Amino acid sequence: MKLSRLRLLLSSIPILIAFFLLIIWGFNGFELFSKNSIAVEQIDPITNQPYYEWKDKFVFGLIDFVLPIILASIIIFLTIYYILKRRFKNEI
Amino acid sequence: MRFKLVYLIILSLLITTQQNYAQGFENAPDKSQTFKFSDPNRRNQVSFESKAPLEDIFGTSNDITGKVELNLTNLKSIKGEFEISVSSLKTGIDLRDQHIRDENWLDAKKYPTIKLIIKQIKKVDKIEQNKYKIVANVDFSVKGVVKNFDITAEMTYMPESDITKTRFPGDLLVIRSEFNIKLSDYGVKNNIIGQKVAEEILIKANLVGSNKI
Repeated sequence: MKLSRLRLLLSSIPILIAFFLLIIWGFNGFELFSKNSIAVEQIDPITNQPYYEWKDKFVFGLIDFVLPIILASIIIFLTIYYILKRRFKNEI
Repeated sequence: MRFKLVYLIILSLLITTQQNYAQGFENAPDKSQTFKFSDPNRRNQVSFESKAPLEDIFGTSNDITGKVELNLTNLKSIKGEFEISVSSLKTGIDLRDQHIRDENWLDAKKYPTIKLIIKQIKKVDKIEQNKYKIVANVDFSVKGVVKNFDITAEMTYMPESDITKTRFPGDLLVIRSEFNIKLSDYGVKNNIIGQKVAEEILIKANLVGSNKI
């Protein structure tokens, strides 16, 4: 009984982390790779033409940031879960 | 009666010829001038866009030098050249910028600049007062490979005023252009072209030059 509660708690943590990261990733523009800076469109006051200025901003990327963290968190929590399960069995 | 008809024909021919050859900015000085596009504040910009199935890439360069020699009253007289430094290309990802400079891509060490030379003006069309659309035949060189093709550009002449002085002293010449290039035409070959990097790259230029810098 104790283990199933713990199991539920442990399995919900990676899901929450993944959900939270995916929300952040969406807010950052669904970028595939992380960026160090973003191009912001400006209008030249003399020519009325658009140009871009780079602003320093870290943008989470899916492949090199979000997915590795999600996978790592799942692996870590599964490992903890099996360690706890083994200990629980030994105690019985 | 016959004399009047001949006179009218000659007059209409003269007007048509005038319209065809009045291919320059009105009220501009009728003399050869040089406009330089080396902005010390680096506000001139060339951007590039790649739209591939896996990724869209947007980048810019503000390190542009160039000059245009022309008689403003005759835009067919334009001659000029521009250079962009390859090491100044920026995409928002430092590692990708490094890759662009690598030997596999644009090889910045061996070919430090991308060059455009205006060879000939093929067509001049007036859009509005002090604004013309031109078709120019250019030599465009990337990674040491030169390709010749036509591009369209918009040119706007801005005589010196209090507003223009906030950018540069002198009269200003604003050039805008958009054109596509194929990477394979310039010997840029890589496995990820077609997947993460598009074969065709859209180039946009927004340049302001002055005849007093």
